[in-house]
Amino acid sequence: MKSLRSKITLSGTVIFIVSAFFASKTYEAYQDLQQTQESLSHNLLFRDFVQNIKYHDLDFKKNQKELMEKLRAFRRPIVEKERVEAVSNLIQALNSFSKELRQRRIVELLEREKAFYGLLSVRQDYHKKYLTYYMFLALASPLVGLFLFTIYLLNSVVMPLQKLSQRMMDFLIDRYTFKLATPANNEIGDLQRTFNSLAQRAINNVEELKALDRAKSEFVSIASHELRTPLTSIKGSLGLLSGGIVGDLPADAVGFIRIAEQETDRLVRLINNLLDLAKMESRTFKLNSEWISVQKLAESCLGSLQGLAQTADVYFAIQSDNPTLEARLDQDRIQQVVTNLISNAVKYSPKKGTVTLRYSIDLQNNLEIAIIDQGPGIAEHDQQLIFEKFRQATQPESKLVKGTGLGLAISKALVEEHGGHIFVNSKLGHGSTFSFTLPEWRQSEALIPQQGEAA
Amino acid sequence: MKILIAEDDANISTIAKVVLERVGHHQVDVATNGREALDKALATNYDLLLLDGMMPELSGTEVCRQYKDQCPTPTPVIFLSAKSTQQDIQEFLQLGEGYIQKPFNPQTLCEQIEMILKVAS
Repeated sequence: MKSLRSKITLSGTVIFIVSAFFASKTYEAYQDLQQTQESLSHNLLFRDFVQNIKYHDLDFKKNQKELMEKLRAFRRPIVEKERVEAVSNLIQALNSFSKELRQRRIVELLEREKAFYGLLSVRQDYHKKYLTYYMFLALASPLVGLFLFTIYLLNSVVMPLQKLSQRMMDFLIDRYTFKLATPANNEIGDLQRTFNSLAQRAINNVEELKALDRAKSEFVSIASHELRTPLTSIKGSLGLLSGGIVGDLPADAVGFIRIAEQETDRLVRLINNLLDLAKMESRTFKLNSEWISVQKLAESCLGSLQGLAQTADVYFAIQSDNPTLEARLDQDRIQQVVTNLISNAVKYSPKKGTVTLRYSIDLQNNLEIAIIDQGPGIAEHDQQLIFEKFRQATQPESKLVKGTGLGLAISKALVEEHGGHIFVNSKLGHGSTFSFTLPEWRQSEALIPQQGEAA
Repeated sequence: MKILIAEDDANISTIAKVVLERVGHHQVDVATNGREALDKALATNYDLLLLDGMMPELSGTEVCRQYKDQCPTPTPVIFLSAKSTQQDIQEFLQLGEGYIQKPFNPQTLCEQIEMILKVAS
């Protein structure tokens, strides 16, 4: 018998049968006792009755008369007064004799009944003893049975379940204790075996995912190398030509080489962006969060784009009601987002326009950074689209730098990696505001999930 | 300055050599694999080693490690690599004095090198 189910059913049945047996025995003993007690009371009543039988209760006179009449009718010719008297005397004598006899028999009867009473009392004591005995067993057997049954349940059901759940918890924190356990030969063992195979499968899946991730990282790394190597030669050669390092070129040629150089740079940016995106999509991406001054971050972003702003004839402004604000974030990554948003804003700004960087703590206690431009604005149906890969609403008029169509997709991924959201608020003709929130800007290192290795 | 360029891609080493010779007026030697680069670096007193990250025989980082182990007075090392992951960049900066991302701009290559050397010293 292996299964817990049959064991539990069997022990339950045994407890029930034993208890029922003792209960029926108790009932029997009770009935016997009652019967004995009834007999005892009958015995007492009978003795009482017999003792109270009096001689005069019997109608001897009536018998005498009847007898005399019978005698007269029988011996009519010889009826004499003396004889009648003699018969009467005889009857009286008989009567007195029968009275004595009767008395003697009553005494005999009473003595017999008394003896019977003694016997019944012994029997009553015996039944009482057995009734107590069976009552005790009838009460004790289910109690003891339940006690043993509970211990059995604790040992073979609750304890193994507890151990199993402990193993599951261990598994959650990557301690693989389930490998050590030998499953019992019952339902809980089955459960454990199922869990073991699930755990093994999960581990295999994780290993597979890790292998895939490694393969992807490797691919990204090789692809970046393989794409950049020829680009290095192209860019280098063009640079040598356009820089006049290998001699002067005709004016027309300089123009075309400039085009080739610009497009090469665009290709380099596109590759960099694609690799960034690939890195972020693989789980090997890791944030390097540290405490920095938001004001400094803003200044550094605007500073790096000062050249672009001057070329486009656009002004920069910083707005904040809390210039000493410090936040915990990955400086390089957030700088990448802010720089991207600002360069977009500059590209779409009109001449003499202003691009404003505003940072503040919003009502939900998030750090919010907004880039506000005075450009043409974005139509409502384009506003979600622009965060997708390779999507642009309209090309900027200035065409200072051609976009790769990946900037906002990367910004979105980076902000989401920080636990935040990026969104746009714009109306055609009224400029655009790109904002993003960083909810985890105050969190300590331990609270920011860091998974995988650096790619 | 006397500079050793270790680079397995002949086009890139040619361009870098031309840039360094004509723009920076440096004296340039070229090695085409890691082993050759290490031998040359140990045999000659260069002022700077420009090492490619990925090379046959020995990788740039391996060349740098062995060079700094074996040479009593090592010269600064700058990696010139197409690798751009955080891990790689960290390794480059730990082993050498600096790192220039490929594709580099030939017109500013010499300035970049000067900047790195200034920061390193």
